[in-house]
Amino acid sequence: MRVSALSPSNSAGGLTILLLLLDFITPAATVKHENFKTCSQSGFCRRNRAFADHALTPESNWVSPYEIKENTVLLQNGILSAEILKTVPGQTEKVVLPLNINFQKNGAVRVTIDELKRTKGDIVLRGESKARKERYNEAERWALIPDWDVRDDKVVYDNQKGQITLTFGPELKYKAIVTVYPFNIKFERDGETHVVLNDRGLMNVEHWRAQPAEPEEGKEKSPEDLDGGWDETFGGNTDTKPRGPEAVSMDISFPGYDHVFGIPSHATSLSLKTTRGGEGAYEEPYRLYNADVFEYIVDSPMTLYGSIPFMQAHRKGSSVGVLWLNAAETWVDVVKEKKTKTDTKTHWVSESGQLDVWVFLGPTPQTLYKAYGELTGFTKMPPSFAIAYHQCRWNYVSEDDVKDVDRKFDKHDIPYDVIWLDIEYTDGKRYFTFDPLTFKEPEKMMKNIDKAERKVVLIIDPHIKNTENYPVVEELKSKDLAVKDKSGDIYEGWCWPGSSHWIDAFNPAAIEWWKSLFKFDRFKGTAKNTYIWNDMNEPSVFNGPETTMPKDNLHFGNWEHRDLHNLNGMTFMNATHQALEARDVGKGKTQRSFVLTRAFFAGAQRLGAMWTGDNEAKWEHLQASLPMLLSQGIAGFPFSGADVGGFFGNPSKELLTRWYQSGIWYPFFRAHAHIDAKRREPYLTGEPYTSIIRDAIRLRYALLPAWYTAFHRASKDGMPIIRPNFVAHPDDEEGFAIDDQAYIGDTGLLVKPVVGEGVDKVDIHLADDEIYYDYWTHKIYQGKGKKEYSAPLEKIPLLMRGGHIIPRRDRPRRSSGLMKHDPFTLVLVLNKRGHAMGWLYHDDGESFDYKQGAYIHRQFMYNGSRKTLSSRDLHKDRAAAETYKKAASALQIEKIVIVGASNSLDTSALAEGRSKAKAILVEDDNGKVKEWHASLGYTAAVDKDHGDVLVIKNAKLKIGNDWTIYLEQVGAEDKPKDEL
Amino acid sequence: MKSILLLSLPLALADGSQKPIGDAWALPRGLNPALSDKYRPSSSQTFNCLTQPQISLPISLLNDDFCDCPDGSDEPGTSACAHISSSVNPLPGFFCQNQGHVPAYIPFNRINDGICDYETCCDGSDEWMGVGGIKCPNRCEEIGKEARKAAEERRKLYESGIRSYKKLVEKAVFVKKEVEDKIVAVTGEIKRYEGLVEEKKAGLKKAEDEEKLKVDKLAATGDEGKSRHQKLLDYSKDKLSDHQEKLSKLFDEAQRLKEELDKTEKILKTFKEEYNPNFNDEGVKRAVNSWEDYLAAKATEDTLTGDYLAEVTGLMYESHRWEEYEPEDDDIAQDMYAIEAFLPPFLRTMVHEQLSSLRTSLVEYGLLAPRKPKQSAKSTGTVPPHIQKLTDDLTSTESNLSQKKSELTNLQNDLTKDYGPQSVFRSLKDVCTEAASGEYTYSFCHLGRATQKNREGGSTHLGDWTGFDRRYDDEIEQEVTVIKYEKGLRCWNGPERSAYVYLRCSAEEKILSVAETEKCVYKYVATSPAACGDIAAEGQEGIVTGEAKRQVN
Repeated sequence: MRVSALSPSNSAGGLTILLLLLDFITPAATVKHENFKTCSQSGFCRRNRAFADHALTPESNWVSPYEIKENTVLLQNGILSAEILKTVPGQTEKVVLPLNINFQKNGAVRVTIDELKRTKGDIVLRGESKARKERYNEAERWALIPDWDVRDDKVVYDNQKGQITLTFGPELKYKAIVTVYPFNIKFERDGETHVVLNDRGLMNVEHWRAQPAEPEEGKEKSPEDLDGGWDETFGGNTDTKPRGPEAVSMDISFPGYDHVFGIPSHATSLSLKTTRGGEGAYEEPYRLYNADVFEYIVDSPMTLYGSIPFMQAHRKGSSVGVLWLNAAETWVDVVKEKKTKTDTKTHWVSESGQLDVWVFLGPTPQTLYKAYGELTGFTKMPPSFAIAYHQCRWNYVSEDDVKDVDRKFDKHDIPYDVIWLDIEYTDGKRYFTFDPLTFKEPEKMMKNIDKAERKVVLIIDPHIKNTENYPVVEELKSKDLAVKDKSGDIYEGWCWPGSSHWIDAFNPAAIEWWKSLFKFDRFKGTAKNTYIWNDMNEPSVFNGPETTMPKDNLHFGNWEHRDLHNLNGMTFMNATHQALEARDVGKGKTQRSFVLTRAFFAGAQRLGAMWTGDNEAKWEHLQASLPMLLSQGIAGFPFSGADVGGFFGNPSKELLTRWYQSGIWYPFFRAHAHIDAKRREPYLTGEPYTSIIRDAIRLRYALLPAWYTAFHRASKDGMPIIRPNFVAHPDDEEGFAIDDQAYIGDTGLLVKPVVGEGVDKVDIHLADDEIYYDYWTHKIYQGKGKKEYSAPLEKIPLLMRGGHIIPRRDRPRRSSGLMKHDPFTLVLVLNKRGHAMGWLYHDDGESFDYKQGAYIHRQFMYNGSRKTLSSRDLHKDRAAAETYKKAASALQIEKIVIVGASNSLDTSALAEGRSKAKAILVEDDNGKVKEWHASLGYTAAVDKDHGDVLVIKNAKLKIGNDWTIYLEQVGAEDKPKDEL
Repeated sequence: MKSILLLSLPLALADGSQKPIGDAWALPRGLNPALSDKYRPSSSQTFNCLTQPQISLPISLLNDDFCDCPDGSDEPGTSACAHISSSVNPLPGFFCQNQGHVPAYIPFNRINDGICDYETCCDGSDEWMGVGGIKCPNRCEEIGKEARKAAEERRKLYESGIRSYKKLVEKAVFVKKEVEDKIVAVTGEIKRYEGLVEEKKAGLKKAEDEEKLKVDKLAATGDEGKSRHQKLLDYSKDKLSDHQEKLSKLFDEAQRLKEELDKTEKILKTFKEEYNPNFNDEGVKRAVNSWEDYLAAKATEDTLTGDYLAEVTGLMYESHRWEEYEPEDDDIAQDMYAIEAFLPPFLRTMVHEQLSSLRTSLVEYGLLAPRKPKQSAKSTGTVPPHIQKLTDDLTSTESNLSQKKSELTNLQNDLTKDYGPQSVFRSLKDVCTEAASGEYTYSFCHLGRATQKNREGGSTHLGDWTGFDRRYDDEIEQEVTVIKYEKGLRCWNGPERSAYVYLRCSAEEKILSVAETEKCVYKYVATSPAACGDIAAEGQEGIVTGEAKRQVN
């Protein structure tokens, strides 16, 4: 007898328990979305998107309320100045916005719009705020090089019917057409419009206004009372906004352009997706607000650790770009309108600061990158070890641990240059100290690592532990060099050490102090082979809004954190960079710095390297890394890498191996792992993986001369170090969106890393009809389009494009430093017509002597018809060149490999023995002809689908000298006696 | 078709090769003299690549700092063929003669790289080119001397280690004998206890039968005129309503506790989702870990049948039509038992067990204050005292018996257990060694437990002894005995901790180093006489051959 009187509530209770249980078991391992704002949670983004929606609704009959006051227009010294008047509905008084259009000699144009009332300080701040009243106007101090302003004094002015036309630029090919009302600017080149500002009338400068009183019951809110314009709370933190709403926004159109690139860093495709509808569109705008995004997701416009607001628009025959020079939180919407041609239209919104846009009119990727670099600076020439392999882990826990890892790399004959120490080396997260138990004798450790010319990188973060008996924090406080909170007291937040203060590296005195901390007699235990890693510099504040600082914090000069947030990381990196370059490494000499940063902004390329932050040991993160790094190259900061192996989690052996095979193509090549991840140094992986990884790392080392040469070019003209298809082949329309393969500098090396599990073949896109040879087998791939390439685990899909010369060093040493006496190999990859060209840059790799001309810069050219290989000096200063040549006189070329020799020589005769060849040096320095001939080795092609190879052996040519070699074919009867 | 042609005149001889002097063939640089014959030039002044003798090269290409042979064998004295895999190159490396010490091979990629690799090449012959101005004077005399001194010390250490080892083995034999003796003794005791149990069972049965008779009599006499049935019925009514009332209270309590549990679980769920693993706060990590363990354990437990609530509710509110039981019916006593059976026995235990386990872990991590134990309700047994005594007596005898039985099993298992070579570890049972390393002090006890202690006095269980293994100790390049300690405290996001003690021979029990080689896997390197078995087995010869490699700090 069982009575059943089931009450519904009870049954639901039981079910709930079950559901909860299921819920618990699912591992939660993705980004904490709720920690970061969406556009609709960010007041100014929400408003300006709504503003755009309203303006773009046909029924609104929208007319942009901005007009140039014509009698204020003045062109002087390459700057057109005027006042823009903003009409505010319901107000007779117009808002005055000073406009400056600055024309640069290289054709770049800067459009700056400020707010008169703010420049005069004629506003009242809310609360008791001590913040500055001006719109932030110091971004250029950090982002641009000091002598950026090279004015174009030949601008031609014309004003007709409310249109001001300015003709400028090289050969007066560019035009800026300014429409007085409604205000907009069209930029033309060669009679075509390429960039339009305020094309759709979405420009919005939120002028200062006093906060309207709460409307009485039943009355409407004042139109000046903007949505989200005042106190704003997110995640328990309230932003007091002393200046109320102050966003600036502008729409920028690229008529006829189907692709836009840049605005890193986002884990997304290289060619930017649309964000306001359309196929595959993101829901959110691209966000630029440097943040410590834990376990970030891929394929997302979500913000990451660094921001470069530079965008390139590209189409066949033209590349143009814009730099949105604003360091406040910024959102960018992208739409594409398909008519006969596609127009890409973008909408930029920043929370505060001046409206400051730079326009670059190209016309090629090269000229665009050069103009951008002339403004923000070019990539710093790194010390040579920095482009070799870095071994990192959170953490190598003791000196013994470091010694053991070092020893095992040698034992397994895997080269590495740098071992890294994460936060655990410190004494209780006090930077500038070593743990007295685990790192008792750091000096000895540095010395031990230095034996094989290796380096140690130590982490130093911007949060300074707030604790007793710690001189660093005492000085930070007593010298008043820390970031302040909104009331002007020292700001306290939480990070690794617990309660901490933050150095305000915007303060010049803080930089000077920071420099003093790195002196060898101050930071005891460091040596000249110690370099620095700056992490958490977004800044990451564990208990702050969006894991960063409150926006109403105050920096040097009483600028609000809001105004300069995206610059913060870079200023800290700058202080460290300066500190390292100020260290006296003996005899009063200094050496090049190496600083790795997580947060960055435009211009950080002048200071060191970046990495893409805390990725995961997952295939999709491996896949995402190459597009992200290609994007860094577009935005002028190519010295970039992603954690090899993935930071979080444990990669499978296959994933780790494939990641190394990809990682050797990252300009910054470092393996790193989370403290909870298993050890995964390459020697632990076991065979065949360890050998495959060793081969991959050795390939990186063999190609270091080519990498260094690519870095040199980036440091001179801003060409990316690894280049996407559209940069290498700007007219290959099919290849514009390709971001899973890359060209390495000017070497013609084309790599397509395997980034999928179990994948054993890839399709490589060939952009032209040139011959491409497999790097390993010399198999020929030819013809535009996709080519299938077989890639079992041990093989890296790597092609050599005909027409290039690749410099290498083939002796696998323990570190790059130990390769410095080794001879070079030149690989000549002949093109269809038998020609090839390549470059080599070389210097001592550590000092600044190269600035005085102590370097070698050569151009190698093989003329297939004349069968001559010549080395030409590209050095600017012959006298200085001679001095260094002497120093480097022991450096030789030992081997010259000619791939596809049959494109130049009658190799069938060679193969059949009807003919022999010899290499004759016809001239070297000073035109003197020397008696010299080298032996040759010929390897015929295995079949018609492969290239043949001729090797000039033991050439012993001096790397720094001018010389020409002639390849002479002689008949069989001339056979020399010692022939084998 | 593949052909290799070597054309034209070779370049002048490089420094690396040495010309034949008269008839005597000077040994090429970097070559082991044992291989010199392979490089003796032919009459036409050529030599052959080692693994591809069909390739014949002019002797001038030997050690000319350019790699010609596909197997790299033309450059025994330079780094020119260093890119060729060691599986292809028949030469194991550059041969350092090291006169005054022991000759050794050094990998080709260490040749002329600007570093004096004295560890391998004490004669400095690896840097013969002097690149970048490096000079490596021959240091074999001093290095050789030091090495011989160290070897002598090691030899002494081994000898004393072996002496201790032999003593340990003798002791182990004695310890084993003790176990065997114990087995005999325990077997005897078991027999005795078995007899006692039988005896006491019989006594109890007899007493119970007598008591039953008494109770039946009492029931038959009745009380104050009420029929036996009526009394039972009244009793049952009272008892049942009492049960219902108590059940209802219990149910309420269960509901309340369930709500409390749900609330606590929700707190912990949010805690787990929202904490930042980036903080790497060990306390938080441990809490999350034990929460996950709790969930995993909960998920694997048999899920309760969903309708137990219904059953309980039914029991609580059921109204009984007692009049149906009024007629004379002797079965009523049985019914009472039947009613008892209606109570789902799992209810009480289930709720309490779950809550107490959760509470324990909450208290453990400081999330909840410990609760003061309540006075447990005294059981109201109606068993007469003399029977109770007999029962207790039997139970205790039975428990003694089973104790002895398990003791026997343990002793028998002990005999078959692996105590290492010659059962030497028997003599080290419970011998503990500890050493400080970084912020912790590490210890292990033979056949016991490995532990990590922090400065504040907290200790972490790294594992219990599970046996032995043979593993390669890459520092002394030798296979050694490893003591395994496993199933220690589980790591956050990781495995259960474990420790492996790599043993080297010495008379002293000492920990040399401890490192966390993998997450939550600890590698101890320690010395012990118990590790001297290998060397002892090899005798004096073992000591001598071991010298070159074995190192004891």
